[in-house]
This record gives sequence, C-alpha cells and structure tokens, in this order.
Amino acid sequence: MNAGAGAHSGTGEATASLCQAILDFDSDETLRLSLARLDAGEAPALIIDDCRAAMKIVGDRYATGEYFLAELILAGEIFKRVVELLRPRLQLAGAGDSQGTVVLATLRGDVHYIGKDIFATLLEAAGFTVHNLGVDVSPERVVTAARAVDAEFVGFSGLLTTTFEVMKEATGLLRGAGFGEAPRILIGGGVTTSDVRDYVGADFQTRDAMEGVAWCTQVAQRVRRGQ
Amino acid sequence: MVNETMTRQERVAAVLAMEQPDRVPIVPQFVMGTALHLCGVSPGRGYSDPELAHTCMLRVFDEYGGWDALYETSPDVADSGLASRQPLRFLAPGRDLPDDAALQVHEAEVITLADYDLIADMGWARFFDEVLACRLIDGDRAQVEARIAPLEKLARDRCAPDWAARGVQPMYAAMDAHPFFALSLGRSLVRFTEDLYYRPKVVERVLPAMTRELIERFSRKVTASGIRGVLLGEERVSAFHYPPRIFERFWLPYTIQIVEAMWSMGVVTTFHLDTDFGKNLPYFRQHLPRGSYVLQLDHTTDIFAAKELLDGHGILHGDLPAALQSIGRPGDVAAYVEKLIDEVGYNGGLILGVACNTAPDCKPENFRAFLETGRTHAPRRRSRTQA
Ligand code: B12
Repeated sequence: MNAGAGAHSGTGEATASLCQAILDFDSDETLRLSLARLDAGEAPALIIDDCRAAMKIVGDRYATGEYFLAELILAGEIFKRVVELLRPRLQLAGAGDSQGTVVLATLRGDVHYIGKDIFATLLEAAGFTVHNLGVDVSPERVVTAARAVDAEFVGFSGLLTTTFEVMKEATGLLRGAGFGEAPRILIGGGVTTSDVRDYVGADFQTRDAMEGVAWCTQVAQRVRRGQ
Repeated sequence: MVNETMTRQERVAAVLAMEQPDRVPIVPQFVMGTALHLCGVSPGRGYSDPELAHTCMLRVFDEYGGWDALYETSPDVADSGLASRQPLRFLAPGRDLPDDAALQVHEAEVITLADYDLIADMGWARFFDEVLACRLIDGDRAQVEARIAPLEKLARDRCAPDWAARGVQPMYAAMDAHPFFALSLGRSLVRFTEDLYYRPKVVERVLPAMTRELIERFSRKVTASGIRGVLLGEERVSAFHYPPRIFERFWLPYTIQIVEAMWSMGVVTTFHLDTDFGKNLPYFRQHLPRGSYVLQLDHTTDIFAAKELLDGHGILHGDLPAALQSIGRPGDVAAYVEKLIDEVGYNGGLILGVACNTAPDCKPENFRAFLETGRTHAPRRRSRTQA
C-alpha cells in the first residue's frame, strides 16, 4: 500500500475497498482495512477522509430513499469505531478542516439521546466538529459551552413537549448572550414541528437527521463564501 | 350540532363494526401524566401516590364531561412497566427525577445478546418475571412483587369499580408491545438494528414463540374480561426506521398471526403506531381482514392519506398532535378536530383521539376544546366525491 499517494485520500484501490466495506455495513472489514493502512504508515486523517466519502454516499442514498434510518445507524456505528481506532493517532483536525462547530444537547427535563447521538455521528461524518453535551442539560450550560468553543451552530433535540419552554429559554439566552455572531439554532426530534420552531425562535427544524446535516452544510458553505 | 342517539358503547361498537355512529366516538389516549397536570398535582406527588393519581384521572373525566371509552384504566406509574412487562428502565419524577419533571425512559441495552437463548428457553413472560424484572430494579423477585402488588390491588379494588360506576368501558382487554417492539426497546435501537442485519437468525429464534405467547395471553384476557379489543404497540418498525424487507420478514408474518387469531374470536386489534407508517399502510389493507384492525396514528403518519388508502377496510384512531395540545390555542385545536371529523370521520371509520398519548403539559383549554368539538361538530362534508 502506498501511504503517500494522493493528496486527500489513499490509493484509488484502497479508497474503493474501504468505501465498499462501509457500504456493505461490514464493520470488521472496515476496521481491518483501516488498521492495515495505518500500519503501512498512512496518515489517519486520510483514512477518515475516505470514510467520510463513504458516509456521504450513504447519506445520498438515504436522501433518495434507497437507504433507511437503520442503514444510517449501522454506517454511523462503523464510522464511530474507525474514529475510536484512529483517535489516539489522530492529530486534532485543524480548524481549517472542520466544516464548522456544533454544540448539541437534549435540554433540562428530557433524557432522550438516541436521535441526538445519531445526528451527532452524521455531523461528524460530514466533517463538523461536534460538542455533544448529553441529556438533561441546562440552558446556562449550553450558553457557556457555545461560547467556549465559539459554536457556529447549536442544536437541541427534544422528544417531549415539556422541553419546548426550555428550548425557548435557551434560544433567548443564546440570542442575548452577546456573541460576535449568534450561532444558528436548529431543533429536531420526534415531537418537533415547524410551529415549534417558530415558538422557540429557532432557525431550522427537522425530524430527519440527514436534513439537519444538509442544512448545516449549506449554511456553513454560504457563510464561508461570505453570503 | 349533533343529535346524540346512541350510548357510549353503541357509538364505539358502531365504528368498530364499520357502521355510521351518531357522532364520532371520542377516546383520548388519556394518561396519568396529563391528569396530574390538569389537576395541578406535581408529577413527583402523583407518581409516588397512585391512589391520588387515579383520583386525578377520575376528576378530569368528570370535570371535562367524560368521553366514550377508556384507553388506560389505571395510572401508569413508573412501576407499571414491571407489571406490563416492558423491558425498560423508567425514571420517575420525585424518585429519580426532580419533582416537576415528566416521566422518562432511559433506553439502554437491558437485554443482552446472550439473553436471546434465555428467552428461547424460558419464554418471554418467565424470562421477564424471573430475570429481567429483577435486573431492571436491581433487586430480587420479592422486591418486584412488592412493587407490583399494590398496583394490581388498586386496579382491581378502585379503578375498575370507579370507572364502571361512570358507565364507561375499557377499549382493550389487554395491551402489549409487539414482540419486535419489545425486543427493540430491550436491546435498544442501535443494538437491535445490528441484530437484525448481522444476526437475523438469533432474532428469528425468539419471534415465533413470543408471538404464540402473546396470542395466548391476549386470548386469556379477552375470555376473562369479555372485552372484544386488544392493543398492540409498535413504534419501531415503520419505514421511518427500516426498509420494507425488514418489515416483511420480522414483523408482518407475526402480525398477521396475531390479528387473525384475535379476529377468529371476534376481537379487533388496535395498533398503537408511532412514527411514520405512511409507506407501510398498504400492507394492512393487503394482508389483514376488513374490519379486523384499528390504527392509532401519532401525527407523523398522514392520517388523511391513510383515510384515502384504508377507507372502508380499517378504522383510524387519532390524531391531535402533541405540539398542538401543549402550545396550540383552543381555536387551532377545534379547527383540527373539525378537519378530522370532516375528512376522516364523515362516514364512520374514525375514533377521535390524540397523537400517541395525551401530552403531560396539555393545556386545559385545549383538552376541553378537543372534547367539545368532538361532541358537537357535525361533519360538513358527507363524502370526498360529493365535496
Ligand atoms: C419509541 C417511543 C417511545 C418508547 C421509548 C423511547 C425512549 N427511548 O425513550 C416508549 C414506548 C417507552 C415511549 C414512552 C413514552 N412516550 Co414515546 N415515543 C416513542 C417514539 C415513537 C419514537 C422515539 C424514538 O425512538 N425515535 C427514534 C429516534 C432515532 O428518532 P428521533 O429521536 O426523532 O431522532 C431522529 C430525528 O428527529 C433527528 N433528530 C433528533 N434530534 C435531533 C436534533 C437536531 C438538532 C436535529 C437537526 C435532528 C435531530 O435525528 C434522528 C434520526 O433522523 C416517539 C414518536 C416519534 N414519532 O418520534 C414517541 C414520543 C416521543 N413519546 C411520546 C410520549 C407521550 C411518551 C410517554 C410520555 C407516554 C406515556 N404516557 O407513558 C412515555 C414516556 C417517554 C419518556 N419520557 O421517556 C410523545 C411525546 C410527546 C409529548 N407530549 O411530550 C411522542 C413524541 C409521540 C407523539 N407523537 O406524541 N415512547
């Protein structure tokens, strides 16, 4: 295996087989191929890039209805395992590499985490830096975290109607917190609707994690282009 | 306005028999969290005092003018899950959560991969009672019994007679999760998805026996109670989660068995279907006998499209959205209920209800508007084709 080949990814063949392993949802094979490339001296970031390219295909197939949430979950789990494997040797991705920084939380009074964590994994796979604060998080903690990492996006996951008020409170705090530029706020989870988005004062709402990723990507690109 | 000519029971029976009722039957999927909220009792107090919670449920029924049949007949406190064999850890307000919090589920891998063998050997009920329940509360069988016994006593000694005194009957002889859903909750979504894709045979080792057990349990309860309805919960199999091939292999065949067994006893199966089943609805029409099923939809499935597809074949139950209950205005609620009656219920085939369950922060004026509109609104449109 030629470790240095290609500026952005491994050899065409190595890239293709890693990508195929992910598209086959073959966890063991993906890890085996990643390890082999690592042992051959390839930079971990290049391996991750290949995985991201595969995840992009998974996302596209989901968008066209070929894949379902189950396949996003399986591919996401594999992606997480590769990142775990490479993390010890992975230099922190330079800020320039990141699509943007996202703070995610399920807010006070709600402990649902499954949908939020799926969204977090898919964001990471799309190249975002994610700070997942967990569940039952206070609005104050969100503001502190968003400030500390200079978040471009803040996402709230909610499965209970009782969290609407808390989302509203957190959104108010974020908007009034004197950020240079206030982070974009997005909400998701089975109980949210566009009415809830308006009620909370968020910028975007979805019950589909891939839609959330697409929106963040679009906004990030627009911001980068200075639009 | 509507001229009421039927009793509660007759109205519900008419819709279940695919006939036209005098007005739409109203059966909100009313749960104790909402009752506490509407009575101004904190969740912490209510969850630790099931008697008080039951009193709140009765009070709301009386003060809001009642409805046509009951969804749950006793309060669903955190330990109710032990009695109804739900493979989940519940976090109760006032015990595990702050006093004012809503009931929470902490989904985790409480059923391990190795447990599939145990389930296959012991059967689901024995596995749950002897192994899983103890694991869930980190205690022994005596402790499990000690938690369940007072709830069963309350249900028998207070709830059943109090509701009977009000002349309102339960809709269901029994409620249970579909075997697929039970495994999904107990294994947790991600692990179960891996099981389905990577070790399907393991899952198929237990599904047939779990289905047989469920049918036996349902049949026993139907015979004992004389109630001709059962409720089957499924929130994890639709095209929101899985491709049709998973639905067709791991869910549909077992579902057909359950519905046909019930139907052969004259029992209608109600499906509590959360998540978007839009793409799965044709299977119900194609594979289940006409009139044998009711679908409770949670507003993520388009109930109006469901009506088009299943009109005259299945019955729909729903679907006032959760967000409308908690942050909508009474006018919005009334308008939505009118639309349901006009477009879904005009020719029968609708039981008026909410999405999933009544919200734990449903506004009193919204609950009132829901019931009032259901009782009084006469359908404007006799049929789609005439409109
Ligand atoms: C399965 C389920 C259950 C299961 C357990 C779920 C669990 N782990 O807690 C059981 C049966 C135990 C259950 C119980 C109850 N449930 Co329930 N349940 C559901 C259901 C059907 C699906 C939830 C789920 O598993 N989703 C799977 C994940 C993958 O989906 P997701 O969270 O939506 O995430 C996706 C997207 O939304 C997105 N996403 C998620 N977060 C974010 C964040 C951002 C920023 C973005 C961009 C995207 C994003 O990414 C994911 C992938 O696409 C929902 C209904 C629904 N349609 O969602 C009701 C629902 C959450 N339940 C509801 C209710 C009422 C209850 C109960 C209170 C009922 C009762 N009286 O006992 C209890 C208590 C629940 C609790 N507090 O924990 C209501 C809540 C509404 C309300 N009024 O608050 C819902 C919304 C149903 C409804 N439409 O009314 N429930």
